Amino acid sequence: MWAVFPGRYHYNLITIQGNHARTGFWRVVAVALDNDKEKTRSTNFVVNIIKKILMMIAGFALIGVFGFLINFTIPVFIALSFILAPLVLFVEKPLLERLKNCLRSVLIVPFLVAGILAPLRAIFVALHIFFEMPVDVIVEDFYPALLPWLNTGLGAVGTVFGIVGGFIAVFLPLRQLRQVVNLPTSKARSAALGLAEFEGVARRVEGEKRTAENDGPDSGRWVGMPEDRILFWGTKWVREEGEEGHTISSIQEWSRFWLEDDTGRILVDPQGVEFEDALGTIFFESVRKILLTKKRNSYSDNIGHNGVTRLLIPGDPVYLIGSVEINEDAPPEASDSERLIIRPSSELKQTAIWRRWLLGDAEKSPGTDVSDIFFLADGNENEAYEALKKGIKSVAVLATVWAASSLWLFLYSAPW
Amino acid sequence: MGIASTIVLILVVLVVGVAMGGYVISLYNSLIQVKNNIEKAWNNIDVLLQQRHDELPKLIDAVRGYMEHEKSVLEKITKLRVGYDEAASIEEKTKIENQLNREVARMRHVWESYPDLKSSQNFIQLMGRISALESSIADRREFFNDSVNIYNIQIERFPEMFLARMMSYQKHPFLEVPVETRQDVKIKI
Repeated sequence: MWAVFPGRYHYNLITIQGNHARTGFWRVVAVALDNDKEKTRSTNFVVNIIKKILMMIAGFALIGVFGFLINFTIPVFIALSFILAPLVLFVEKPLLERLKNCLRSVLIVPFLVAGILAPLRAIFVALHIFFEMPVDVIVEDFYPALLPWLNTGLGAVGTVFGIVGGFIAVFLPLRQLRQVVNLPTSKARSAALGLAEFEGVARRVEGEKRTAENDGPDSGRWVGMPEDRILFWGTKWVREEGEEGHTISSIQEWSRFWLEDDTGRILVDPQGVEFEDALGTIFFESVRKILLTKKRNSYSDNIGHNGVTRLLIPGDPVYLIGSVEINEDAPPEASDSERLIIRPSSELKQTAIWRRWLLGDAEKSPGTDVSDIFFLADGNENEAYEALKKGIKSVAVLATVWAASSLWLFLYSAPW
Repeated sequence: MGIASTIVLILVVLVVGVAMGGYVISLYNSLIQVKNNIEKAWNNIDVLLQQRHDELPKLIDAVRGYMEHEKSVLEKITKLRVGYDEAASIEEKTKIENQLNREVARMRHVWESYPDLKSSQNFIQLMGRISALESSIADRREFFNDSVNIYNIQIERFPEMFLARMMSYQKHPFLEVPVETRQDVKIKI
């Protein structure tokens, strides 16, 4: 009974081919509108716009409700972080280590909680000034004299958090940016062991098997996926048996590939490295990233939904900074660069003294040392540089807004 | 000045001071890194250059009997080779290597006039070994020159130039591409 709309449709410049059966409310709207083939494109476009506007309104409303709830329970969060922090005493470790961890948790966790929530409190204080909205429920009702001190404390912690967090979140990518600029480009034929930079073209390794997290594109649930893909990153909607709604899951798929330049080729193994499509990440931590920015057609799964997809396919340009190591699995007849492999370094670096005392880390987590970089981008060095710079700018702006709003809260609420 | 203004002023001074200090440190570290990159790139190419230099005395012995009139060229090559081993810095070695390349290129032009030499088995084998090293040297030369280029740009760029002057960093010479590699391919019509 319900009509299907054959032909090609354009949604946000993405083309989906084939028949597409509409469901629910949107089918009613579409059928109610003119069914003529020529007008179907603009009709669906309008329907899509209306859908997006309603979703945005719903999203903002949800954010507002959550914001209210969290703001009014800030004192509860901070109190809980003090109460729960000592729970590390029950972890099975030597007593001295447990006491150290407990001390660290009590000192650091409430600070982190307060720092993260400070800008939210600043927003509500501003709303209170302009619209006379309530700022707090718990403290205002039971300990009203404490409220200015609570807000002042939140503002102070938020300011420090914004400044220190901003330095850290900008500092590490800046050092990575320096590596992009300072490292000379190596040739595949004459690559030396250690950290090196390469530019070339991706080529598939014959017979190479892909490894995928979650339900990968080879699961049979995807339509139109290129068989010779090298890397894949996407989101998809999953409907489980008996469920009405969908859950969104992220899929990452890696395979080894050859990086080929005008002198030869060298094997690259990006297994396990996280994907990004734009480096505007908040509090950028790891210097191990795969940055795929080239937009391609979305590939739908078999229930008609699609999402963000990024692919690296044979022939794509590749810019890579990674650790060149001996490939133990290379065949005996391999010579020169074919004996080598570029992958994230497996060697762990020592942490700074202050970090060892404060956080107890003797060795850095993989990917957090500036010399432990694995950065792969589907473009050239300039494009990778611009993407990194863009990420740093967005984090710097966020950190500035964070610190500034918290500082305002501190100065406004200060009882002296 | 109120307490709030004082706090803001102290905070701004602290943040700006730490940011500036951090920036200067990052510039310093960057200059150190590009300088060390040159040394690393040189060490990688030096290995191959040494191998090529080791072939030069045998080459000179092979051609000496034929090229009696070119004694000055052969002596100069020998002198430069010794000078290379005795050179103290990478800059000095780069300059000597460039001179050595020019002299070997001159020698190549000259032995074109000696058909007996060109057909000598010993000579052919030696030239083959030297040529085999050339392609590896070419890649590493490009890598080395890329490192030098990055370094030269950094020490002349604002504001790194001020720090570079304080650290007495000078421009580094490039490794020249040998003349015969630069010659255009002659098309026979």
